[in-house]
Amino acid sequence: MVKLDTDEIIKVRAGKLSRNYKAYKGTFFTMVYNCMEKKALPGFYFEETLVLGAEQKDKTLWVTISGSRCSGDLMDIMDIALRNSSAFPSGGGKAQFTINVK
Amino acid sequence: MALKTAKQYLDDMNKLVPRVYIGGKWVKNLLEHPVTRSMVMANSMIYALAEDPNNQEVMVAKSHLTGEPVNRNLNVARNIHDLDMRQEMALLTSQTVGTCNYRCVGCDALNSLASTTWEMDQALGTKYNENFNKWLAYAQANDLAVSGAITDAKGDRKKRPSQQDEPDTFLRMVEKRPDGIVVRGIKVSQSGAIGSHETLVLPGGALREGEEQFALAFAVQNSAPGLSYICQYNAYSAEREMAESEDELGNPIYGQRETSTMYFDNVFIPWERVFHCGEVKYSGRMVARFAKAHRMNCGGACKVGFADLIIGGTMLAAEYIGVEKVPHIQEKIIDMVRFSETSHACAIAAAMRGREEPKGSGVYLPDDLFGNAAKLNIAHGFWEIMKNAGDIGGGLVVTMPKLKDLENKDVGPILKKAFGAVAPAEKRLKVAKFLQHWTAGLHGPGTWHGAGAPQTQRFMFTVLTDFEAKKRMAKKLMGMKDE
Repeated sequence: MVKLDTDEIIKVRAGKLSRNYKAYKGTFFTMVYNCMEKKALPGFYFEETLVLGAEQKDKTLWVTISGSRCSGDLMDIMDIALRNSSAFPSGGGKAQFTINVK
Repeated sequence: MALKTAKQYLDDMNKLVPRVYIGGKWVKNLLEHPVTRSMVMANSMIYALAEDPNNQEVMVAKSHLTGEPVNRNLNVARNIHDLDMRQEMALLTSQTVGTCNYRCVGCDALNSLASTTWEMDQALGTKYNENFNKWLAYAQANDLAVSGAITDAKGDRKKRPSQQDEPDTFLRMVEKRPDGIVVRGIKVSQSGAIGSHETLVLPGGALREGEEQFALAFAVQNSAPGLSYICQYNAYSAEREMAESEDELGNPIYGQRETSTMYFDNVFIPWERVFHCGEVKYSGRMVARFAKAHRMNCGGACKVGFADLIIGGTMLAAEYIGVEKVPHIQEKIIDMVRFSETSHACAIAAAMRGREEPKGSGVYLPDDLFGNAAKLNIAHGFWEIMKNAGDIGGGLVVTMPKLKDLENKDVGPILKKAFGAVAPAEKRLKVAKFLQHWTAGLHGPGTWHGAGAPQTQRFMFTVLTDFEAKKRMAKKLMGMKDE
């Protein structure tokens, strides 16, 4: 059996909080497209103005979420968005990509 | 984690929010709407079946990619035994939930992809098989519920995909980017995508040069922005919405088969999830290999599981009014078994005569002729089975009052007098409701069209049957010499 290189680790940061997610390859760039081109997060179709803006540089994505929300709430939003992308919380591994949310 | 539990799957579903519309409403939580809930509960039972130690041989396989145990719905058949257990899984799941195993189409789609991406890579030097194997290993490791979307909306059947007045009637690529593709269009009659983690999308049929934009296969997450699901809605949906409790329905927990129309409104698919993009020569065989697998499973095993339930319900209906030993009743029940088991025999034959396709790929697909025979036989046989169930079940199957009326203080005592026989009214009406679900519901047309309408199987018979050989045999026996 050959170990297949299937995963990408995405670190999500909101203020001082952070959490790693294990996703299938390509998930980070899907998030980039959805945030920048569609101004949308997976799992939040009913909140059309949730994403105010997004910027990407190399392997980092900055996402601005509408409203005044604490870091915990922002992490909860990103948790749902990542899970709706078939990504799951992961303890270990070095993150290849970062999503900063504010 | 290689095998997810039913509870873990339900936990996932509580967090997944695909854009789902049903009967005039948008649904924010699939488990809170009575109709979408039935679909999710059916899928959860498919996970539960794999947890049961008695089902390990049928429901669990060993991944050829990682060597780990995986749910058979995510397994690529590597030998005859795998094919045989695949059709047995279709039988078991149908017997258990009385509706779709909503992971079934995804399973047959991934087997087609395993075969065809390997072939494309060999011939064209592409990396589709490598991408597909990586995606599959990820799906297996996380035991994702994967559905399949094949049928395009198709529009005017006289016109090719690119000639349609409404271009969205066929799913197509509208943008090719360095990081992936953007797709747009409509797939219809899709079973269970709403409650899946992901859907495998295949082309709807064979394509020609110039139709490269439609030659697509990919995996998409079910809540991808731009992807919407418009669910089917019918009398059974309305009944479920109106019911005070599931107990009063024909298939209380798992319901009728739930499908949706999937609308892709510029959905981004990264290259890692793309398994076919523009190679029109391979689109037709990708669909044909899917159909080959699906006709064995859907036709020769899944519907046989349904038939087992109908036969069981019909026998109870006969016993409850004391006619179970009447000769013509017994004859009709035997006919039901004959239609059903003949189809299952075809599915077993399709598995046993399965072979590696293409050679060297390591992927086993069922025998095409027997798979088509299984589907064509049950497409016709299922109507006969429903007819006999309606015949033996009696007019009560469609004239019965509401089950809950038995509890009404005014009419309940009257109904108990009216419908009590060898068995009490409660049992008679319960089984009548069960048979109503089967004989007056969606399953007749569903069985007819699922895995392709019978005309497609008849066409395959003309392609796969060596009629000249049969004529030669007849001539030889007759002693007829050619000029």
